[in-house]
Amino acid sequence: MTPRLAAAFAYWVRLVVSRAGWFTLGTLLLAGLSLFHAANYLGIDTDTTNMLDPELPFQRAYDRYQQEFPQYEDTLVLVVQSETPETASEAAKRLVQRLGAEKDLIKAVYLPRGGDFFERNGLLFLKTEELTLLVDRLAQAQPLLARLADETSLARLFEVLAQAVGNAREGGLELERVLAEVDRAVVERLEGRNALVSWQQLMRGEDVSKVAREIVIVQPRLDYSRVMAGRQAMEAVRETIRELGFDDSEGATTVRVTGKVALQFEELISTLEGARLAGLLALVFVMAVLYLGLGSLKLMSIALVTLFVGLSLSVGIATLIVGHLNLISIAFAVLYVGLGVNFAIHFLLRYRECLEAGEPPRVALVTTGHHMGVALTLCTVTTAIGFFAFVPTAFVGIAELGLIAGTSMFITLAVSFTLLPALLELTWPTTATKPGMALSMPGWTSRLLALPQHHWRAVCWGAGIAGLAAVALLPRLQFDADPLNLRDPTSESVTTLIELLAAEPFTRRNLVVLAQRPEEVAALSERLEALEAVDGTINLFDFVPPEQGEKLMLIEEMELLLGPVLLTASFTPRQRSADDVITALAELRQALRDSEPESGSSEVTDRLGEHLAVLQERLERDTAARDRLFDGLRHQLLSTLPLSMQRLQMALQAQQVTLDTLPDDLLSRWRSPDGTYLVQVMPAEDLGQLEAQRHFIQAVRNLVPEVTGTPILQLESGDAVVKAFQQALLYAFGGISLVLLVILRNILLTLKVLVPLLLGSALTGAVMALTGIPFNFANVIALPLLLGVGVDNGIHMVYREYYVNETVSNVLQTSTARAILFGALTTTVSFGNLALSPHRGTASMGVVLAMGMILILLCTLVVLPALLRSR
Amino acid sequence: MTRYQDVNRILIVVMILSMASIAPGASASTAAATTIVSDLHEALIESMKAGSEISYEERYEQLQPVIERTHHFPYIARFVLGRYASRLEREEQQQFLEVFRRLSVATYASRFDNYNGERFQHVSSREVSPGRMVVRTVLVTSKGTRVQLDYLLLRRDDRWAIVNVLADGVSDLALRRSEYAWLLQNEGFMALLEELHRQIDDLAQRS
Repeated sequence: MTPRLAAAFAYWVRLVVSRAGWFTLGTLLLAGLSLFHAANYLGIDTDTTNMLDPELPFQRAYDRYQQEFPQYEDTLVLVVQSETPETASEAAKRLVQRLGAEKDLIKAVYLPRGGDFFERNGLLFLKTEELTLLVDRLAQAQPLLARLADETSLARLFEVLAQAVGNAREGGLELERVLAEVDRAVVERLEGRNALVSWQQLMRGEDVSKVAREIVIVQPRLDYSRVMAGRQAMEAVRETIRELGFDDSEGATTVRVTGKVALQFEELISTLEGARLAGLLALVFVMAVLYLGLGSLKLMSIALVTLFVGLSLSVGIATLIVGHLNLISIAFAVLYVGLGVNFAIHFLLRYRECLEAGEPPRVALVTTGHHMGVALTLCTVTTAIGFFAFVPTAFVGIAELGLIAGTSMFITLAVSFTLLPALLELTWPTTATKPGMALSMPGWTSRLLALPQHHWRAVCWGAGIAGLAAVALLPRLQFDADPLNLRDPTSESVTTLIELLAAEPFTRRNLVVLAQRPEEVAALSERLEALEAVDGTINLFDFVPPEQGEKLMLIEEMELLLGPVLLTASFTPRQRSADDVITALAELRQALRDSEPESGSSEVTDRLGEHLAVLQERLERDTAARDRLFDGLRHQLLSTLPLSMQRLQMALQAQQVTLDTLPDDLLSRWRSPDGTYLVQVMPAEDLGQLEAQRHFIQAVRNLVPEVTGTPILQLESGDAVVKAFQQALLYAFGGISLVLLVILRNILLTLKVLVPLLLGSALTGAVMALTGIPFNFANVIALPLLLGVGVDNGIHMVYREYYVNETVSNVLQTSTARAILFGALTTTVSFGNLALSPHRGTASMGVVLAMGMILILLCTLVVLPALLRSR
Repeated sequence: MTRYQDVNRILIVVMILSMASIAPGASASTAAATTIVSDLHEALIESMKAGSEISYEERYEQLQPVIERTHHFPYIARFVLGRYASRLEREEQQQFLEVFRRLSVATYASRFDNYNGERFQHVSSREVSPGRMVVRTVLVTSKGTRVQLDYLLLRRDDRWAIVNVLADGVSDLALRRSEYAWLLQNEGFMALLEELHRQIDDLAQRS
């Protein structure tokens, strides 16, 4: 079989060479067509949930949830942060208003915990005791607010505070807190900053140091006909943020963008950037290695042209057979460069060897075809097996990469035996070779490489021990199923999400249960809440708060207590003459000095007294700056008052909430049009840990088998990928063994080729376990692929030794050893470039592949010769 | 002439009737609530005019029935205790109500004890929601100083009664609630009672 195949290759090369021009033209034309086709039709699928077989049960459960409640999918999450809740809420409202107008790009915008409904009825969602406390607080605040309602000015504020300090009991509003806030404002003013005081936080007794955060959910219209479906919407959102002045990270209010659409958009950008960077670097390195290895600019150029043509054809084939790239298969170009150039190196080096042996160029080409055809076919088959191994698994993401890359290996083979000889024939035929370039390795390297043969027993023992140690470490290998960990950790969407998860840990990792009837919802929620692993549940009926009668009465009391003036005043800040303010300021200072220490606020009063003294001194020294200082202080101390009072006035209009009075968009988020109810289940502990996640999911699943949600999706995806990985490894190993058996027709020899391969793979796994690099969705392809690529070295060596009838000691002195070394080097280097990608998934794929290549190469160069020596 | 008067009378009756049919009881309510406030004001003016002719005790006796009739003390007492109300025994609540009632009358009696030409002006009466009324009045002193007095009235058992008075927007209920809450939290119920007794004594002595 092999001799016939070899002869066929020789015949083919002879044919190509005789019509070199036509073949070159034809190949180039085909490559052009292919590129054109790809440019028009190749899409990019950035949805990580599409990376697994949609028919898997957990995928179907999630799919059903998505269909019932599409508004939770494909969203942008805008995180509004501001120094006060009032300004945050204003900013959020303005965003909703502006983005809501972009009907072409944005389907819907909403505030998940805001909007008219919650502003009006928010108080009903407090617990009755909390509401009672609020009545107390408002009672305390009322006198102060009433005086400010009459005149909202700095002078009045200072006057009222001066009175209050004199009477701690009547001071109200937790005087100490107010004084501390006034103090903060004064200090910031003196330093020229604009820190606002939040009246809402003061009135409601909220923590004033907490950053106020609002969430705006945007559902963009995604244009899937474009490569980046979310781009237009993303850009519109960013533009709006810029126009509203919320893009300044130093500003008082900032808006950052995260959510699935943003994460995917930025992930794609980082992946593309990574692929571009790695591709470019790979090219540079490959050119350098090619030049070093081939020793000729012309040969290097030919190899590069062949590489490009092969790549162009492969992209076209990818468009034809898959139609799109995904976040993993984008790396295919880099893999292709790394692997494809190998073929050219082997072919060209052997060609040079023939030339130097004195063969005329044309004859040398045919001889090379004859000699290399079988070995390179074998390499193609084994590498393709490494790639194809994922195709039959459920891991669609890598199956697509496998399909594309595997197929492209055959294209490489075809191009290497068509375009390469044709180009050589066209450019090289008459040129005489420069003699003297050593095709073999320098002497010391071959002596070094010969060591394993001399000490083959030691090497075999060492390999055995290393192998056992590596296998012992393998159980420690982890799989990281969190797609967040694959993404660029510096991108805005990722940092924002991580921050959000830290601030509100349970925002993302909820589980989702669907129910058909209201009674079912109640029963499910009750049973789920009884679970230890469950913190609580949310469903539609939770939006009809309990004890409404009592709460509405308390709200009525608030209204009675505050009185009609407060509830109609506008609280628009007014300016009083600077002299009035200075008088009031002096009054306040006097009151602070006179305040009795037993009132309990001596520390704050002292501090405020000191800072007011500094302020007064500044006012006296620099009369020109008075107005500016007062304008600033008025803004800081009073500008949030109208907003918080408006919100309070609104909140006092709460009315009985029933299912029928819930706003439509809220209703539709918890009950689908066909009447399916959504129940969200929140975990009792943080799900950062895999074990906690499994425990939570298992607990819920025991009650409700068809539960779904992101944590399940992740966990199950992880499990599915691990399974796919095991299958792929098995397929790759089986396929490669079979090919070796068929070709070598010798079980012992097959085993000898396989042992260094397995050892290298085991060592790779061991190093990953030791260094704590987990497997993830991207790098999991490494081991099956390494098997496929790594075996090539063994094949080349065995083939050269056994089929070309040269002595073992000679093999390291031939072009084969050089080709193996340089080939492996280019592959390693080009894979290694992926490690520079900002996309962590791509980067880890690069690291694992490069490391694996080195380890397998070492094993092949050290262990294989020793094994071959053992009889 | 008489004929026109008759027509006018009929027209007025028709208008009143039609208004009543649009907002049943609205105008009647407004009138009733306004009457409550003006009854209080009349009593206060009378008390002021009596001046030093009567003793503090007599003034107290004179004002007590009007104030008790125009105010809803059980509601006010429960409200100013806030969340502490439910923590008190029935007896304690009753005790508090009694002292509170006395303090309120005493406060009126000691404040409105001489007359310098003050007068109350009715500004508006508005039913803000069913069963709740705001009667806005102004107290004008002889010097022309104006104090805006807003009375909040509730309808309980088909009768209107004052539950809160706001002087220039500052709410009497709010002041008392914070003051009592502070005492209850820091010193307890007995201290609160003592404080109220002390305030009553103070008012009596001052007059």
